Amino acid sequence: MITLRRPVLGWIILLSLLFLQQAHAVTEIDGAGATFPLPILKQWIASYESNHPVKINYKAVGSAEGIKSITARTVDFAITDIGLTRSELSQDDLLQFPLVAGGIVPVVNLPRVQSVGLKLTGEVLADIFMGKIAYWDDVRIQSLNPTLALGHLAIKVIHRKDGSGSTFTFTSYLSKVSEAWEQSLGMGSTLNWPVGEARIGNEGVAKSVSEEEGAIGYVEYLYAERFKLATINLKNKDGYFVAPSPASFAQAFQQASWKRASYYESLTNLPGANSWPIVAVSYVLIHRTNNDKEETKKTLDFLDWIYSSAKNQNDGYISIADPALIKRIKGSWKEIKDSKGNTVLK
Amino acid sequence: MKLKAYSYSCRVAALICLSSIAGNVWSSGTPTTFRTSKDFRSHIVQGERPEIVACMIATRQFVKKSSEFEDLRWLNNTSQSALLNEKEINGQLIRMIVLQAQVLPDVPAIFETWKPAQVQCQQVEEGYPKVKITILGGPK
Repeated sequence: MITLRRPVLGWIILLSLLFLQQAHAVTEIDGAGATFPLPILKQWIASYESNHPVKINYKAVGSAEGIKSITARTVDFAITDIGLTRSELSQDDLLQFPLVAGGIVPVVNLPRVQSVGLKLTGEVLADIFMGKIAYWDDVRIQSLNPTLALGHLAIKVIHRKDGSGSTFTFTSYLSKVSEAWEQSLGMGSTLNWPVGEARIGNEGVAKSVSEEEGAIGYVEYLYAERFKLATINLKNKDGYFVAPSPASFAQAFQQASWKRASYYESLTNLPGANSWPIVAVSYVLIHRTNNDKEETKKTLDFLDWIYSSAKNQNDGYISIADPALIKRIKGSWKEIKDSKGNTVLK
Repeated sequence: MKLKAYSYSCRVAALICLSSIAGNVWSSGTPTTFRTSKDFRSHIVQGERPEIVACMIATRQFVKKSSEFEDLRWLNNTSQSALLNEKEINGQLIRMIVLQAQVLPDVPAIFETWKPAQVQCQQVEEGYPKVKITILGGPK
């Protein structure tokens, strides 16, 4: 009978344990940024992690903080709804591409009109957020909603405190529909809001609006649904009052050309009878150079899975489904390099 | 020895040539090289609004090369008071950014006199921002 000597047996056990550990090693990848796509991102992460040996940590800290984190290289990827332009991206060798899109919706807490759907125009909405219209029974709101008994209730404006892509998109819309807004406030991820209270994240705004009677805010569509908030019907560029829905978001989204190197698109106040006028795009940001090979590869695998497998899991969002666009996006990944200057993907 | 020196000078010349090309070439809208900027990173990490940083950096470069201005400084409220608007005209994206600042005119003087100024950046189709500085309350 052949017997192994003790030291040999020890080595075999040790090597087997190491092999097993390697086989079950879980790579962790870190992302940070927008709260706008968080609900769908959570679903994608859960589905992906159940079939892949990867742990994805995503911190929903707002788009501006996400940009800060990727610039400081404390994360593997960022997600931002503040689309950067080529001149910004090139200054930190960043690559940007669209991941998902969705609608930003004004939400109100008006118990009397919860189920009816308040009608507003862009100009009236801008005047509300500028503090020029202070009560819900203002003649300009009442004339758009003659059948509603609105009552003399003070309007409480809720806006974002953190640097936010939702704010960027919402104020881009207000700038396009209100000359007064365009000339005094413009668009941006943070603004000098003339009135209102500031809250952190989409969830912070949704929670505040749900708790305060007379409140108005703006959130991503799914947050409105989850907090059971009343949305409004907005008059669009073609003059129709449109309700927010995946179909009305899609009509605006389909007008994106994706012609720019940065893929930057402004999807606000676009034409179309059923086009929702405030649609935001969430972009991924990744460095082109000096990446950790393994983590970047895993990040790209995850994003690849989203583009190819997660099309049916959109839950009120709009997935990127155009094969030509996806091919172009994936083509740009070939430029991504590790710290040795080698391409991450073969 | 001579050959070595010749080869070295050739390499230096080639490097200078390449670096000057690399700094300027943009092909059909896609940057072929990356002019990474420490200023960009520091502005972003300090928490500056990402959408106005390109304008701030272009303004610094503009002042550096300008014969009109010796220096420029941002105000505490420059970021918050920034006015950004964008329009798409015939498929071209045009971004206008207005920032408040102070400039030090490049004129012989005994004392430094900082003057309030308005910076305007115009960015066409994501290109490098064009900068215009106007001294407020007086001629340029």
